[in-house]
Amino acid sequence: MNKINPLFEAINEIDDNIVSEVIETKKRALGMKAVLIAAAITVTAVLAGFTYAVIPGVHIGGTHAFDYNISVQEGMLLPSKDEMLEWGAAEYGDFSNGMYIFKKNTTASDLFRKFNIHPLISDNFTEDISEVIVNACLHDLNGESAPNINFAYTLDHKQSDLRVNFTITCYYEESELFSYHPDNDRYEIIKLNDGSKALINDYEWGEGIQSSADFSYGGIVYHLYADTDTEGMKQILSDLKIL
Amino acid sequence: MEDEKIIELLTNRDQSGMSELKAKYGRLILKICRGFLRSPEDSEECASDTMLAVWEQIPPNRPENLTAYICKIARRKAVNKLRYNTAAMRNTDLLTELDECVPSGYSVEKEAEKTELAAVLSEWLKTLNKRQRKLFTLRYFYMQSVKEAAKSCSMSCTAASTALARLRDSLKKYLTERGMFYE
Repeated sequence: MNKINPLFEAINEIDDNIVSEVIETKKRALGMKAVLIAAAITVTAVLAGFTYAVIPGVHIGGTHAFDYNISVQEGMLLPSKDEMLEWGAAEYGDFSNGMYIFKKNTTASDLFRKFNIHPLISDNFTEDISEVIVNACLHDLNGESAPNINFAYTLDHKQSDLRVNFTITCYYEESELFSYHPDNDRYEIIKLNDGSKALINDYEWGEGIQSSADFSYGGIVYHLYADTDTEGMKQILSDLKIL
Repeated sequence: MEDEKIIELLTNRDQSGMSELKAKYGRLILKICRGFLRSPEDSEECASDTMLAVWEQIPPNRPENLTAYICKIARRKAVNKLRYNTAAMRNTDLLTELDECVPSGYSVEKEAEKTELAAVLSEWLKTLNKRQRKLFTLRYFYMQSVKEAAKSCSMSCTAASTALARLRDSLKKYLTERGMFYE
């Protein structure tokens, strides 16, 4: 008889609500799916002799809401594995075919300079030397191309003293399509100062509230979350100088 | 049909309860089994075994959460198949990922230890936000590919794989702090 990882089995006995919560949110998502499609891509399909174009943008409940503008980051460096290791990265995750971690030996800004990318940052935030995870997988686990590099890091918002978690995705080839849906119906769409929009969603988390913001700016895709409500998240976006 | 009514039919040994169960949960059960098992025949067999187990266990059981109850039976059946044939597993990457969280050679032999590990795992899951919890559950309970789980959580594949790596790190730390690893 083979031994199986004990976690693999223990996962079977987790709280029932956690197991069924996923199924319930999937059902709810079908009713309020938002589809984010890169403005740079128009998808055409042939159906029974007719052609139709999928209109780029965010669709919520069948209504076009806003565009999600992804663009190739010109001049972005694509370091080799050796270069990453020379910069101080360590391989991360067992299936690391391109995932690295900088374990508190760099700031996110210093790393962005090396990659020659310019994501959002302002003097309303401080950053310490911290952990930065870089996912530069050229292919996802299904062997399909994933022409982007993903960075996960944190910045500290001076005004609220909150730690804001950032995940950004920078594209170096034509962007991919993926769908988006909020976690619940407590979401708000707000306008950014470049004409694009952001989706803010807040939700209960532990004893308090957490909120997330999903948007694109300067061609980069952002997902932020912090222990605050919608108004707090708007302040964060304002302090990033994009509202 | 509502779960309460299905349970009522099964409790009264009414065969239509099984038809309703299959109509409502058949696809989900098969999907769970397919997530574990490489062979379609094994998956079909596992799904049938699950339906049979539900018929045999209700009554006397009367689950409060039928969705979770069925999913757990399906998963248990699939894991039991793998005990005798790990080559039958569809997605061995997943096992390798979870190995990051457990020191090599660590095993849980006694039922009490298994129960404790499950309780700590549930505790940890509740410290996550909904999206993180959903991502972890889709990947490691429902055995979805990173691509499928990413899509359900509105993330790109790379963002999801990054998030999963961080979650595994966080889980390992949580388990270690609670003395689950005896190094």
